[in-house]
Amino acid sequence: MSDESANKPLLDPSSDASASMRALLTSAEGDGLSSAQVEALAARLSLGAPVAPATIAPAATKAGFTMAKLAAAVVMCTAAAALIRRSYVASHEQARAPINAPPITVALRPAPAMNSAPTPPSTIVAPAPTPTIASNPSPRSRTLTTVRPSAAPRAEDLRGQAAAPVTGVGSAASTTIEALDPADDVGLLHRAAAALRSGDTSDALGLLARHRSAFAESALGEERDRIEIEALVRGGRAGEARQRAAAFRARYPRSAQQRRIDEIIAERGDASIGS
Amino acid sequence: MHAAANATMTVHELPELRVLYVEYVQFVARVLRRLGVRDADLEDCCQEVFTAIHRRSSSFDGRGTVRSWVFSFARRVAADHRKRAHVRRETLDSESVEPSVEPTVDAAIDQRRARALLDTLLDGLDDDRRAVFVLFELEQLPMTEVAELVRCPLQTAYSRLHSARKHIEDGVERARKRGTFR
Repeated sequence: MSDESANKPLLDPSSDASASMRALLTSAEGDGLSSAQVEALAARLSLGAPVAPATIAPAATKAGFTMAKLAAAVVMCTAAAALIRRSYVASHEQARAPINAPPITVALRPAPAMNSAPTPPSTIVAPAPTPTIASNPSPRSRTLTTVRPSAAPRAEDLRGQAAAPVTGVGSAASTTIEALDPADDVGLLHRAAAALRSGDTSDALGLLARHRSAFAESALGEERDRIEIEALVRGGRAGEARQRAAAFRARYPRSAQQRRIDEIIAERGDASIGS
Repeated sequence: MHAAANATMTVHELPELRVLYVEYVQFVARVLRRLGVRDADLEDCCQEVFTAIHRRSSSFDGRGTVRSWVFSFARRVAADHRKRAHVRRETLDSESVEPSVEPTVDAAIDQRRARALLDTLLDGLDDDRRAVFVLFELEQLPMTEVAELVRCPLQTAYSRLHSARKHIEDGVERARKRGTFR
């Protein structure tokens, strides 16, 4: 890396960062709170009431922070609740602000609005959706050459160890990993999805049950449910799949997985009714 | 850049909590997350930060930017959280927690897998290097502001950045060789 590029962020287009490094860093783009969480937290902090102009401190300004800007910020606050409600309908993932975008973007109205009721939601622009990761190639284009047979224990091997620590395999010095190891959380779902792709739905369902047992509160719960619904449909258990899909919708009303689940049910679920 | 207008905002009197919340809640959330707070605890830790800000608002002296002042609370809460988490769970070295060997089958899982590796590698940094890396590489703040936020000389901030990069890049390379990351 040259001296010049060494002092630029790795995600800068002109940096020498590898594709792997960029993929690693862009994986953090979705960090932050969802709109629902921002709203819930605002409520917990008792920030719901509009801000009265009289409460604004006469900002002794410096470095370009003018009174007008502070006033504008207050207008932004009075509109925050409406913004949050509006943003609430966005999907969970899309509602998250990208790294370089403001968490909330507000088109400000003239100052007189400060003396009236909270600014109507029409003045507000919802946060931009998180951009897709350009450097993230299609996962299906990857080969399977890195798979070692010992790295993927089958469901029947796992079912007997529900309460036992999961043992990491695939390296000469196997390391015992605690049951809540997030890496195994991901690994189990990978194996389940692989089993589903290969057509072994019972294996997939076994792995998913194991995942549900070991990682009940997994951050990948939505992905797990989606794979499970697909496995049920492919396994001819359409009725059960629809029940799961309904439960999913109730539990994750704004999930990014919902569209895919709807497609699965629409394309395959109806065809296998009664099976 | 988010909060660009107020990135170097310096005021003698602190805006009230609602203003700070709207302006900085996502900044606080991202910083907390990247300094080691897991998703499940993020909302609670954010609340902790803003509660502390509210309680300590009189301590704002206007000598630094509002963002650096807010960051100091987030950094403290994250450090406390990491200490508590350290007690709760066994600390695993980066070799043992890298994702297991398996081809990627789903973009969402792939992204989560990268995020899990990033967590693991960041966990291997000390607090000082981690803060600089997070603010410069992930928040993409100018290094002058990073140095102000972490309260160190500019050259020290660069030194920490390069050391942190080496750690992260080595971890990525190790993961690639093991086939656990592309």
